[in-house]
Amino acid sequence: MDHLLIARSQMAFSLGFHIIFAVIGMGMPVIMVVAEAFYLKTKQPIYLELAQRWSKGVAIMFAVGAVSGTVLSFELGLLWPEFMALAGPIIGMPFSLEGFAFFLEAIFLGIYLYGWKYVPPKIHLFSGVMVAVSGAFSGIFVVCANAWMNTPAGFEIIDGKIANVDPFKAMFNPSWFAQTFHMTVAAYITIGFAVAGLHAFLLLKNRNREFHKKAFLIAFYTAAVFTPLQFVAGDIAAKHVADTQPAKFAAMEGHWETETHAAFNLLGFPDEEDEVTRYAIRIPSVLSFLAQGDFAASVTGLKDIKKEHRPPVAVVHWAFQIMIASAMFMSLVTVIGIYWRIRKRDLSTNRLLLWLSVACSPIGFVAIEAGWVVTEVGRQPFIIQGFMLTKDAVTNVPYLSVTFTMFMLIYAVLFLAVIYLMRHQVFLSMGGDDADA
Amino acid sequence: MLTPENLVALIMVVALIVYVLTGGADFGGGVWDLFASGKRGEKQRTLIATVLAPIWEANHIWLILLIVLMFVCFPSAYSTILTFLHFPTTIMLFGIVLRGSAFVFRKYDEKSGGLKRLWSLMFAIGSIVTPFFLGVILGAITVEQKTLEALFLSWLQPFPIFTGLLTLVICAYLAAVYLIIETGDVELQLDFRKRALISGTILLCLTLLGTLVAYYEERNLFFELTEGPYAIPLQVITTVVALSALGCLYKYEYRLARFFAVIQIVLIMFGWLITQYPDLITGHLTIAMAAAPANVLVTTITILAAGSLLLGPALIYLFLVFRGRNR
Repeated sequence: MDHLLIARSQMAFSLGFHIIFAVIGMGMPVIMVVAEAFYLKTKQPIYLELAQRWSKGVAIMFAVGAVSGTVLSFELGLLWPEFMALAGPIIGMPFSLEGFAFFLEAIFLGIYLYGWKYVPPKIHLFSGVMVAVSGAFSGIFVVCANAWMNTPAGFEIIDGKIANVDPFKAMFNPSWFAQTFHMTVAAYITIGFAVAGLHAFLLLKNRNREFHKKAFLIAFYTAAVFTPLQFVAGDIAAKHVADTQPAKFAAMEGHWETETHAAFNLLGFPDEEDEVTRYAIRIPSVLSFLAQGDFAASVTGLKDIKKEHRPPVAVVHWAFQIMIASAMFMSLVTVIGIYWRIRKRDLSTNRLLLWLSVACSPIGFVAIEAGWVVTEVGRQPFIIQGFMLTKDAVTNVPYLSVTFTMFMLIYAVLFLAVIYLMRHQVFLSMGGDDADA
Repeated sequence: MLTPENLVALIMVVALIVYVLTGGADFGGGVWDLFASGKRGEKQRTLIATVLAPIWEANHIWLILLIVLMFVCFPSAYSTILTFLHFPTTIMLFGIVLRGSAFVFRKYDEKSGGLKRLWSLMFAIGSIVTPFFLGVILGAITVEQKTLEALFLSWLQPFPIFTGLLTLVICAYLAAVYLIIETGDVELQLDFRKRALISGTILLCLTLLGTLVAYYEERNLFFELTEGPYAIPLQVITTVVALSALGCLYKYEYRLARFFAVIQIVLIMFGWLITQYPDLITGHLTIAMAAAPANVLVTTITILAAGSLLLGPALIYLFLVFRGRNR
């Protein structure tokens, strides 16, 4: 592999790893707090048990998220020193704020996890709420910084040096809302289904029914509340990308010709040599509608973008297909669940819904990873859209393959360890009989 | 002069000192976990784990705050240091990852046996590697190199290795001194008193030796350490405080010992600050040269001020809730 590709792989790998734990850190506290609030309201010990069991998982996931996040804050400079020398001060505000949000999250998580006996119940619940709120803000701030890379704003370049930096304009750059809204909603849906799926599995195994039923319902409804919002967020994001990043949008669709009434390419194989997408199912005019809300609108094709400024089309196109398919599947399961609820049936005894929820368990994460491939690979060859090429930002330090291999190994071990611990310490401990609850 | 960039640099130094005093002691806990021995070995480990559990994540964030301030306010220093000290930084990151994750893995792995020993070992290795390489990095930017390129291998020289060791011993010493007060078990107190006396003595010898290493290896640094109106008095005061801390430990005055130990570490780091100012990378990059545009600095300082209004009370509450819970 060449130098640039190794650096990009290491970054992609570290981000792809961290994002899983970051999302868990955003979403888990929400359902944990919901369970605790139910406990304080109903005094049913089963809810307390739920909050405590979930918090064990949160403790493990948060620690791995914190250390892998620390790695990223250094890796930006280890791998992309030229980028950070330019961008550091401009996107400093969201990063500083993120530092504070993360700090608060860690403080209140300490109180939440270890303070059950030491602080009054209301303060304990408040700590949980603070973990959830600061977790959400952490995510939003980091995504603001990423949004700046897609639609840079709030600075000028005069004689090769940055000038007139406006930290507010940089943070609230044109993409900030579309991206943070889309990502935050994605995190809650993903966690809702991940947890619902886990407890659905245990319900199917007939373990500790009352306990897992409550757990399943809290998680499933969390996902169900946020799923409709994602249609709004996704639509805003798509129109925004079409408007501000035509190359990314065209790559997502494998769309080559600039035309009105543009067709939506479902599946298909983009061929960058012949500049055509083969074997796609073409749905006429839908792409124009997605891009601008008008079936007759003109959509820029890849042919109108300089060859050296085109992202890798096939990767972006397929990542987008995977994201959309995942979203559709989760939405379908939500609809089935809501339909069942409207007919006043017990969701936790519907085996079809339970199996579908099990299937949804990993799918949110798939959608999130795919979405990040779309936004990051789709911006290539730029690291800052229109301003700096990724190849001009990379470090000149040799032997990157050594550190890359080491990181891969360590993260692989961590990942296996987390799975082992979740399985043996959290998952199985929930499998006991009713007396256990 | 209190320019915005100097103010940010001062805040960073304070954050670094707080990080060493809190997060550093957590690493020291890992060192004593490795050296846990005797028939109370398991008890020592349990004490370390229960004291660390609620606070280590929060203590760790000081480092993140530091690195964020670095790239926001001194972007060229951040890029230069991470380019030329790529390898020691990467090794430090491995240490951070191992320590943090192994600590929770061990805590939540309820089965004892091979894996639990592996988590323990990872935790201990991470706790040693991280402060050592943090010290190496600080030492490497302190010593003047002829060219920036020379910085690339500078961390393998005697002085950075020495500062690495010094940092490691500081962490171990602080941990031992803190842990004495965290337990009500007199035998455990004596165990950690012994450890504090040993590591405190080593630390005192190392700080005195530091001047010698500087004399033979880094003549410029030596002059900074010994010249100037504050240099010699500061060294004398630091030594007196160090001896007082050891004396209090010897006399079983644990709280007073902790007070002197903290002052001693602050003085050591303050002494380093005086020799380092106004450089960020000695001989190549000063605070003023590396500073981001003034309005960015002012915005950052404002955020820090506003944020600490929220953060300060929360942090104090965290420490109050868990203070002395094992006594």
